[in-house]
Amino acid sequence: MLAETKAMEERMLAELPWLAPIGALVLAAVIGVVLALALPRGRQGLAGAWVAGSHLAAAALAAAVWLDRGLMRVMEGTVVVDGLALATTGLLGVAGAVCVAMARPVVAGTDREGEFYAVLAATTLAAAVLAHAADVALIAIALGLLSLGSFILTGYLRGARRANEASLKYYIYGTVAGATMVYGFSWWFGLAGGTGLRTIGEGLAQAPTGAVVASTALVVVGLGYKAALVPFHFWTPDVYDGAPVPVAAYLSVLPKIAGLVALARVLPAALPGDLAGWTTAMAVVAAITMTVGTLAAIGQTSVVRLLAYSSIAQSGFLLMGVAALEGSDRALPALLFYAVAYAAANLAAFAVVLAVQRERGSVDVSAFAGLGRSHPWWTAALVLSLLSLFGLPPLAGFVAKLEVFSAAIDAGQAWLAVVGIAMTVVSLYPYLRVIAPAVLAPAGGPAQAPRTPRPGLALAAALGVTAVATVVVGVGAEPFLSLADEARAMR
Amino acid sequence: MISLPVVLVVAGLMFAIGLYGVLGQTNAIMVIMGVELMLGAAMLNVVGFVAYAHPDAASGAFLVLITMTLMAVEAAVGFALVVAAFRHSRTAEIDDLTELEG
Repeated sequence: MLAETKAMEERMLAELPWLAPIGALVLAAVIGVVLALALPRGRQGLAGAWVAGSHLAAAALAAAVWLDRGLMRVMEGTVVVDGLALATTGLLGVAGAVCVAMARPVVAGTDREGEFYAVLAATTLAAAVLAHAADVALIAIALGLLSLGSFILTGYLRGARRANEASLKYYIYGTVAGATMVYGFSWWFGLAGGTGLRTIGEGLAQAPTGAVVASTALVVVGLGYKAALVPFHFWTPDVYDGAPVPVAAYLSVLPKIAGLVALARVLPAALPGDLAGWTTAMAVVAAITMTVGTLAAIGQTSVVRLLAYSSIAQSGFLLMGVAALEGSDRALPALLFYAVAYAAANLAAFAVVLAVQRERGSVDVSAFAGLGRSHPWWTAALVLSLLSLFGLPPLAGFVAKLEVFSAAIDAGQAWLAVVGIAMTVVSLYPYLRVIAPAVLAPAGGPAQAPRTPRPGLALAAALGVTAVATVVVGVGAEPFLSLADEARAMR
Repeated sequence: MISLPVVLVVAGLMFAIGLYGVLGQTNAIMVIMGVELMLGAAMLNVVGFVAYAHPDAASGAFLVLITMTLMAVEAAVGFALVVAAFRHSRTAEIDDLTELEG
């Protein structure tokens, strides 16, 4: 027994290098806390630089592990290091660094600046762990930490009543969904006799269908809420609206992608061979999600709320990739490529919203009027990002939509592709409602006292990187697509 | 005599009561209590399964420990948020929080 434990310990130690990207994020959070405590008020920005740097390091390490070491199932089967996990971690690292750069001008000078970066790092860590987890106990921890970090980020500006209210609402939705998921896990454990996804997959194949369907529905509640799938999306507009804009940008990309990646890992592993008809169920949820999100975006007057509903619709398109997983080899690459395209475009859009909010003091559609005259570069980024979210060629969003639609058709879900195309067409209207006044209206807009004259270097860098990525990932899609395909092969 | 179905039914009732608390109560503290009951139901479920169906599954005990930790941390953050909300608006009633249009 003792020798066995010792051998297990040695095996785990030898496997540690595969977890280097996660280690970088652990260091980001832990040293971030230390820096926040140790640095004087004026130098808290260094904690931000540290956290952003280690996010990028995590992305680089994910690439290094990919190139150097390849696929491995580690830590006694609780953690999987595969193409899906590494690609997701790389994306989370870059997107997290962009969010830190966006947050810098907002939190700089407040009395909890360093802590904010540390909490953000811990949240990204949870998202990365969720992408690696192959055991329901680990998924419960990761999802719990991801939720708690998100609540705290939302309510970070304690003085702001709206942020506080948003945080409390988010908390209630989040914990209820999380508790429902854990209850579902307890049934999976009972039906299968273990917590590893592989054990659960073998056990559920023998279990009565009714019990499998019911317990799976409970689990999907928890992961679906993270991904803002209908009908677990109600928190999204309120939380994005109440949270500081950089936090809304963060929440719309990192936890969402982590939730969808977790669905893409959990469902095929726990329900092998389309058990309980989960692919059809996910396809239906995807269709409803994209429809509700697109239609609700139409009437919005606040650009943040519009982007919130747009992000719900985008979840539907991403979920198409999950729904096609059993039926098509193209589904996983499509999901990954869509995640990259969505992250770039959504972060760019939120960066412009943040810049406009800081100059004009409002995020209403009317505040964007005449933006083209006063700020041609912001307007260019806004137009590019919104049109990429819509799916205009040759931008990244177009290739991404093409990929998920062909994956759906390949998996025999052509009806879903038809719904997707219809909703893509409809979605042009809400996006144009922001673009048209920005480009066409004469300069001016509501003249409110500018809060800050310049957007700052960090914000400009975040905006530039994401806007350029929106174009480059679209025009030069080939290498990204073959990388995404390699991620599938590494499973 | 206590058997597995009895445990599962009790856990199911706990989950239902917790869910009722979440959906039916308007006080944020009561909602948090409801969530605690839901997580408690999950733990009771696992304990019942370990005791009667899978006595060798050590991972069940691990899952219960994780859930317990999750419960404690979530409650701590939840009460902090309620206190912060109370400072702003002198209320813990969710329906009175109407700053955002919902």
